[in-house]
Amino acid sequence: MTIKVTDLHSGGNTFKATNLGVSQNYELSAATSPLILTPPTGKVIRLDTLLLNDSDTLTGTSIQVGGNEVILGSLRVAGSIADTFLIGNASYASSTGNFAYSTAWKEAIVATQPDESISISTTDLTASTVYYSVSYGDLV
Amino acid sequence: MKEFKDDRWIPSKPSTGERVIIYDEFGGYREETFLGDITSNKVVITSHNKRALVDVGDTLTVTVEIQDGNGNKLPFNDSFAVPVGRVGGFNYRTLMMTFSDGVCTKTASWNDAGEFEITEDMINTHLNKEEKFNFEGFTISVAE
Repeated sequence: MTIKVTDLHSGGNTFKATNLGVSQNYELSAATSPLILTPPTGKVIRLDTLLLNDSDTLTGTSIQVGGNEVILGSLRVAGSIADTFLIGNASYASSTGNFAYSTAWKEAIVATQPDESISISTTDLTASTVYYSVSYGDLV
Repeated sequence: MKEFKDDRWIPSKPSTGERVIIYDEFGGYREETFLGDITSNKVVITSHNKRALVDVGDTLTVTVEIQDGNGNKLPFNDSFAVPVGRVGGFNYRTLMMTFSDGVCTKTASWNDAGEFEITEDMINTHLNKEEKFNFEGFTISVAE
């Protein structure tokens, strides 16, 4: 028997950025949740960074893509505690010359299709300033 | 839901606590809770109070912070060139400011006497609208 190949699939799509957004900040708490990020029509959004200062913590922080939760934990710099995260990687040298080695960095989060939103929420009653940035692009 | 688009609120400015939609330059937008006027990030000189006095030929060390609109230091790690002008004149020199975790300490020699300034417009010369900083200005008096 002979198998005739009719379709070849290349595997998972790659996000190609067409617009790189600037850093934004927002006072995130349970009262101000969610922060919903939506791309321009026809584009895909990628959450590049989600950070906060090293003295702050936001417990019960989750990120949803198209309404589906993709990560849940405490947003904080101290990565030596389980279930903590920051998105992206803003490695820096402190005044003592150390990098933020203990931070549990996680990779950028990409929406699965055009026009899909990424939402950030927390159940923490105390607000903290979060710093975030997004890119818009296409899945190629 | 009220929207912020093209530098204005439609149909009117929201009240604190209202859910709003804010558009960016690319046509994307975010939905969030309105917490007051949108404030720009700012450049703040923490070592001096708006003016420094230095003898001609000496060095001057200035410490600068990048802060958000609420005065929180931002985790900014990058360098940018800052024009310095003669008061009432043209560009005098350009200084490279390198920030680590939002702080820059810059030391420079001042070999010409006169009045020099860094203004908010100079800080923002090469920045897009959304990137512009608030800055109160800084004057350097070099005396002989």
